[in-house]
Amino acid sequence: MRRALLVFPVLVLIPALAAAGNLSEAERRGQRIYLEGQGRGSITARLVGPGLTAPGSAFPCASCHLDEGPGVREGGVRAADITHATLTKEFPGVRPSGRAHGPYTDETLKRAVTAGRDPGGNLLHEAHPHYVMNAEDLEDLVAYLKVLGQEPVPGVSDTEIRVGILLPDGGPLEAAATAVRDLLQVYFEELNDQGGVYRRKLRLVPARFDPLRPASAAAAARDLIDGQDVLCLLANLGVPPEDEGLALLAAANVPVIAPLQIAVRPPDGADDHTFHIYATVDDQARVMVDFVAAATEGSLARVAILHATDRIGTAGAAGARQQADKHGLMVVVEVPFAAGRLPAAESVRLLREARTDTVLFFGPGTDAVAFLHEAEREQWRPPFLAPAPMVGATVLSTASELTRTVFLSSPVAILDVQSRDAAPFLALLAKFGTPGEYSSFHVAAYAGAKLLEEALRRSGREVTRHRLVQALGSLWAFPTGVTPLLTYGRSRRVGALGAQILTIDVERQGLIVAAPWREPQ
Amino acid sequence: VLHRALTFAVRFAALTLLLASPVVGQPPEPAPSANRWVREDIAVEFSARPVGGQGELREGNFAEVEFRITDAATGRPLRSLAPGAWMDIGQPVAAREKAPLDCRQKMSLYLSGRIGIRPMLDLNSYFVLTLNRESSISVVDPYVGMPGKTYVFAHIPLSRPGADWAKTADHKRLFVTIPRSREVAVVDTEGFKVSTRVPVGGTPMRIVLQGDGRYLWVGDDSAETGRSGVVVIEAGTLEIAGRIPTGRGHHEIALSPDDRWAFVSNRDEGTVSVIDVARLAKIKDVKTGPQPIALAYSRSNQALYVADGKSGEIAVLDGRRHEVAARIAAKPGLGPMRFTEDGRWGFVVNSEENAVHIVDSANNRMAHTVRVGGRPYSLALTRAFAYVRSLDSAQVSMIPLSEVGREQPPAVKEFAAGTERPGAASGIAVAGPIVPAVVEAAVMVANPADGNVYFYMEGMMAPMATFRNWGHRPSALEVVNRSLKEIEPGVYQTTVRLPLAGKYDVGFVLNSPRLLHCFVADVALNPALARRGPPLEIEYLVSDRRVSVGGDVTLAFKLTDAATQRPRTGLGDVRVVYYMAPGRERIAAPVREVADGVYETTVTLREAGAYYVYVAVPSVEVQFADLPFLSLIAETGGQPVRGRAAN
Repeated sequence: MRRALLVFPVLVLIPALAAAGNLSEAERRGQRIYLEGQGRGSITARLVGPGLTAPGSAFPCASCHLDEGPGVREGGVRAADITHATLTKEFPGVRPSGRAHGPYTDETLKRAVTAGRDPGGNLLHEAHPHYVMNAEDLEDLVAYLKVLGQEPVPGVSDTEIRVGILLPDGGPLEAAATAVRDLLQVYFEELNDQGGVYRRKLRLVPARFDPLRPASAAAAARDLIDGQDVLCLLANLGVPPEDEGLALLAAANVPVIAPLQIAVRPPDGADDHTFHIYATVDDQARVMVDFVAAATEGSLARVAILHATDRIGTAGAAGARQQADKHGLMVVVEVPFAAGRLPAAESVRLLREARTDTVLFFGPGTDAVAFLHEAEREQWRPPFLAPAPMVGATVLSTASELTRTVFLSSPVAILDVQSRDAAPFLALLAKFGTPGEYSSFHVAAYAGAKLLEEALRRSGREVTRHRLVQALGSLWAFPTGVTPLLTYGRSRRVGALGAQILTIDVERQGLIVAAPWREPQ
Repeated sequence: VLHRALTFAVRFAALTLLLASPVVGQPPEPAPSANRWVREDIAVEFSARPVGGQGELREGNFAEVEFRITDAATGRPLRSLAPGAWMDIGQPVAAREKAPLDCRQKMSLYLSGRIGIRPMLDLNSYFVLTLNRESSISVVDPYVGMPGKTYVFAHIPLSRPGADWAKTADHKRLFVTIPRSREVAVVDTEGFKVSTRVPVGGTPMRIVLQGDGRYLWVGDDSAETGRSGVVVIEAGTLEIAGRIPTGRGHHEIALSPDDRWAFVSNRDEGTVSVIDVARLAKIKDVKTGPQPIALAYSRSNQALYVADGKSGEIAVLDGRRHEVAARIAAKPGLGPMRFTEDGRWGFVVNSEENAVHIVDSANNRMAHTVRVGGRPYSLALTRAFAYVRSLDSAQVSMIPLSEVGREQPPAVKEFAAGTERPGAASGIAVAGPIVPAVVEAAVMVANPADGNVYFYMEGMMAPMATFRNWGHRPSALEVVNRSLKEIEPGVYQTTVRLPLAGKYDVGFVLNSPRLLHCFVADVALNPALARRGPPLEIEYLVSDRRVSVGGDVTLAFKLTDAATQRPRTGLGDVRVVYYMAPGRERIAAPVREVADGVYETTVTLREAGAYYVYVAVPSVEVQFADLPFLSLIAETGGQPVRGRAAN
């Protein structure tokens, strides 16, 4: 049985940060019209062929002309190239559009949008809607069309790509944060020595915050985005869960890669810009229930769910409930509690009364330990399952007779240090740390760096935030060497969607794999 | 010409054969009245309109045929589909009898891919063009699905052998450099004829059409120093827009993806000239190495890669500043270089080292060097593989792109495209011998030594089909695609020439979800086409068109004067040819007059299948394609005979 010491961060969820680049106000509004079909006034699209009228948001320009404006892309679709250089180009004879006309001006561009005619007076193809919008919105759109495809890209200069990282200054995660920063620095240095990415060097831009001051992380994030000029964020850690900055960050569209925090699966489409390495708490809960179902084969079908009433505890409980339903396990009792304030004795009594066989726990480690103490006092030792990222550190530090029936789900697969795949990671580690000593922070940060490097390579020299997100979102079975293969998709923002189940080796203060890493059923 | 006419006739024949066969079972579908059809939330809207004009469709003219596919509920275009479509004449205007039709039934036959059963117009067809060393281009109809057989659809004579070619984005025109005639021939791929010859002078070799289709860039390899450079031709008008001397030696040409910059190498000068396309002016000569031999532009790195044959280095020119930003070391002997579509991986052959180098444009490093023996000289890329042709080997090497960039170098696979080494033929063209086929994951490979074209599908051990080129030696290949193309989101279009007037069935098929529907198009008689029909009319005196295999069949037919409706007697040169679909072994049969205006011939149908009989009378200018033909089905045991490819 392989073993490794794992340390987990306090869980925090992190939506995306953002900024809209260096566009003027008008260009920015025009960009919204282009991308989303929404302006200051109402916008409608009249479809010439079917003779229908639809809201502009159903037919934004970008859905055919694509985000950067050039024509031919995926699937042989040929929408016109509407980059300004092309539109204003002199061109005798028939253009690639199949029509002959002079260069566009602002006025003829407006007419194309609203009346579907080119400067020569030819009708555009009838697939092109005629848009109805007010004069101001039209001005904004034209302003944006002039810079479409050549907007300055935040964090990208001729020679450099800047990558931000949010790190706690002080607090329990400070050492981990320093280790992660060091690892990424060395990673970037090596990459730069190898020629960088498309003739640019990667630069890590750390932003420190005080984890004890509520607005500190938000201020640091804002500074990174507005002042520090970064393309994306990588391996953030320690941002307090209810920090006000998170809301601000979520609204803007900065790619966030591998936040070193456990997450809740966001509602579909709610957070397209954050790419997690590891499974969300609800998916971990599913793997826990799968494990219970497989281990008991129906004989122990009476489970209890204890969960904190915060967002993560609630999400974990929901995942567990759904999966128990799927397996036909009976949830005999649910005990919600305020995090840090579990009424342990009362809970044990309730669970025993309900003749509970197995306990599923989603809350802080201190509450878990309190519960285990109380149960032990009653000499009741049911299997107790909890996500390691939530309870791991506390439970591990109290490893004793108490924890013999504890099973932890870990989204992190234990690294096989003997494997060839892991060799580059260990070699990198040896350059700045103690050889052979690493934590799950290192693993996840390294995986995040690999992910970023690959996505940058796929994005090309003309990288934008959008292209980076597209590249990340299309990675399939990507090997990092230290995690399960990472796969992302249109509606999938977790790379390694699964978990393993661990037990605690009380004598050696370590962890033993009880069930190997697997995806939820 | 005769061949083409016959080819066309065969297709028509196959169709008519079907139409005329008694339809058993359900009555024919009523013709749909509307051109919009909705099924399973998918709306398909069919239209056909004359190219470049309004009004009705007319025979002999080109038509834009279009299917607009949308989500019926939202109206959103459905992208990236691969619809199939055919057009068949349901009822020719001049038809004497009204044959019962069932469009859907016909379509399922086409889908089954049976030999000899093809619609009049296949909207998903394509042609393979071979640039022959015999001063010509052959047009091959690959008719995939019929291994080992093909026929040359058309033959295009050139003034002298072509060196290189480029085609327009719509595949309608092909530009061929002909160094020894000092010209560029423009081939119209609708009619497969040389429509114009553009005298450019000098020694035109490499030809490149820029991305937006505006300019043709022709490398002039003239020995005169003041002349050697590029000739720029306005592709629309074919007027020469400029002549830009760039330096000595052979010229390779590349353009930036936005067509702002043209790059021209000067092999004997050791430079690459940078040309501002908007001004058609040379702005810079960049010293890259002693012998710049290949140019390739990386879209992902926005940089031009210049492979040097002598120094064995690859210089990387920044796409904006036009300065050497990096140099990648390899070994002397470098040849052609190409990038993957995304611009990430650059492949360059090394004929002296028997290797292919793979460059990672992300960090300008050599990612792999793989061994490819036999002096590799040319390469082509599909989505999945890099194909490499060698001079001294009949084997084509394949490098899987999915394995590029890993720790281990990619494993090279091979297949044999012929038995003779391409180097056995003299005079290798500038244009390449490998071209991706129109169908996914397949290539066509020319072997100039044995004269054949090989069709290879990825994953197979050997080529699927061999296309013989009737004694010509192809040095390069191109493909002309006539398939429906998605020209705008959800709009699938192609251009066809309407051969006859009448009511057409327009079959439409979608695979996923499985949809099949028939639309209708009316094509009017064309008054512009001389209505001088053939001076003769023919009536085949045949009671049963189903005959047994193997025996001789005596056929009688009656020829009537079209004007007077009286029998034409005494025609001494009545000719009959017949053959089995799809057109092999054309056999001429002797004809004798047996009564007034009644002629007789004997045909031997040796194999089971569909046969077509044609009659011509040259003395009255009636060619084989002018008169209706007769179709016969040779069968065994009274069962309808199926083609060999039938499943």
